[in-house]
Amino acid sequence: MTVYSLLASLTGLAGQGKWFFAGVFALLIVWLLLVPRERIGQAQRVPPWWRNVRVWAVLIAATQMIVYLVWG
Amino acid sequence: MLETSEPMGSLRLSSVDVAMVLAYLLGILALGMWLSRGIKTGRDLFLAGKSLPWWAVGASLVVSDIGAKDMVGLADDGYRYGLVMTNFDFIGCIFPVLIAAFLFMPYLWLAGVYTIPEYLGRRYNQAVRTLFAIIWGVFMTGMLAVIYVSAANVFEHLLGWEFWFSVLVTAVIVGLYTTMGGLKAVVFTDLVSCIVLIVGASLVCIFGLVEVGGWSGLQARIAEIPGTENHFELLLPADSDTPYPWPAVLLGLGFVLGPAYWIGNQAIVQRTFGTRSQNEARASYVLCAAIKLVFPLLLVIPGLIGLAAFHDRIGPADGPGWEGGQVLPTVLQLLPPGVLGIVVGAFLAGVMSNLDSYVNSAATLCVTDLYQPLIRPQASDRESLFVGRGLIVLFLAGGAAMSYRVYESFDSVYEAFQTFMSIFQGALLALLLLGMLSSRTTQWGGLAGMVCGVGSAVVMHLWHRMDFLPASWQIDAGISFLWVAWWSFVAAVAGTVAVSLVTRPFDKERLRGLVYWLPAEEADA
Repeated sequence: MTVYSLLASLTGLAGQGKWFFAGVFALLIVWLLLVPRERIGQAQRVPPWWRNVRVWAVLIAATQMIVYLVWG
Repeated sequence: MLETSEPMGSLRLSSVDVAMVLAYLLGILALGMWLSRGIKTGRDLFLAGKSLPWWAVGASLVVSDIGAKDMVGLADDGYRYGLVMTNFDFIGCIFPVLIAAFLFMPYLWLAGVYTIPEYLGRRYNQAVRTLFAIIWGVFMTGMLAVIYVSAANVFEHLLGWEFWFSVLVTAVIVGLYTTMGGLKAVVFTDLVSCIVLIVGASLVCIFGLVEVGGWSGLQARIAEIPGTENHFELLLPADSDTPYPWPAVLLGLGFVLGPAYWIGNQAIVQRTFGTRSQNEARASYVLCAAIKLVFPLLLVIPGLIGLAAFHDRIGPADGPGWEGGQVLPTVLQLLPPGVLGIVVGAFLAGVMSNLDSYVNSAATLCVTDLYQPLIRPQASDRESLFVGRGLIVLFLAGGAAMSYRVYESFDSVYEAFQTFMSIFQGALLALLLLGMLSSRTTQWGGLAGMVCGVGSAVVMHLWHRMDFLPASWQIDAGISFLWVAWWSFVAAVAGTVAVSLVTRPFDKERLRGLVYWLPAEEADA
């Protein structure tokens, strides 16, 4: 047992990994939604959703969040 | 458990399989040579003249990451640890790739750099650039040898090829189209390889799962094997005895090694620099992340199938009969003729796409960061093209020459490379993050951060084991490399911040286009 695992056991977090992993992807989704349009080449116009990389990125991150929540 | 009459290591292809493999090899070679038309300058060779479409680059990113060693290694580790290994592509890839897509890649693209050390040189100074170029050059040369050896190991099992014959075939084919066609040939042959790889890996999973009674049959069989309680867990408890407790995976892999690899690995990011616009650079990374949602399962599930079907023959992982690299070839025995040809083609695809990416990037890095700035600043573009092609041949030959030495001690050397990466990845990520996100980070801060990060990683490795190098290459790559990556990153950040606070930063105009908050004036198409 390492000092890290000991710490996790003592704080009751040893088996709670899925909340941290899902939380990371939740934060990523928030950040992706907040990135200004001009930073991602959409200052002039927003492309339709199927050509919008922001939409696809959010979908991928949401899928990962669900994966960790269900199987983590 | 399944009983087959086929002894391990004697798998042979039918004539249909051989025909398919030969067709694949010749097809890739023809495609690569055809794409070599119009290569006239170093920019064409190294960046494909900035003409690459996002969908080809996205697929190429996937197979540049997944090579022969990963296919074999992930099947082994899937057998040994189970689904936890998918984290290397989930939190270790998808998370950093999405951040890179929206934060780093468009800015690196706009900066117009050929290599990551070139960006570090512009953002910090020549010393940082040269040191990272040397570190990457050494790493890539060793990596080429590892790729040759991992390919030869499996070709020996599948095709009965001798070691040197295997090395020769891969070197000649990859050498021909990479030397002539450069990055363009690399990316488009990678696109074909990605499709073949996905089809091949899917077929292994489908035929394997049918053999063991589907997913429920797989779970039931593995449940009967002692020591496999966590094989279907995506995250292992923090007090797990394996090398992958979730805090180490999150901090070491998710926050340091993954981002450093997907943002700072020249062999990965170079193809993105060759896209037509920064929007296409971003889209290529998002496509890569989408493919990575399913790809890791296709590589880890064969290990679980091997555990369910062949545990009696292979034995317990790390037991007396355990031999690294045997799980995947054993599982392939379940495939019928014809299908096996496609899967072997997929394996060849993994070998060649991995090898072409590293050799092209190693040559780019040497020309851009060492030859041009240090040896021949006045070199013309045509001279760079000539030197670049020569270096591709040299790297392929050098990797081949080193490969037999690696072959003799493959397991420990592969682990040594993981350890080697953990030595500089933390520092690299710290410098990229702080350099790109803050204009207050100074050149001397960057240099100090690099010294602190690399130095602390070396000290931590030495602290872990006193028999470091010459004894027998017995390097324990278990939990330590993830934690070393994390703490060296922390040390590099601390060193960079501390020295930056007491030294003078570059003025804002000097940093325009190099820092996120100071975008370049130029707008791309």
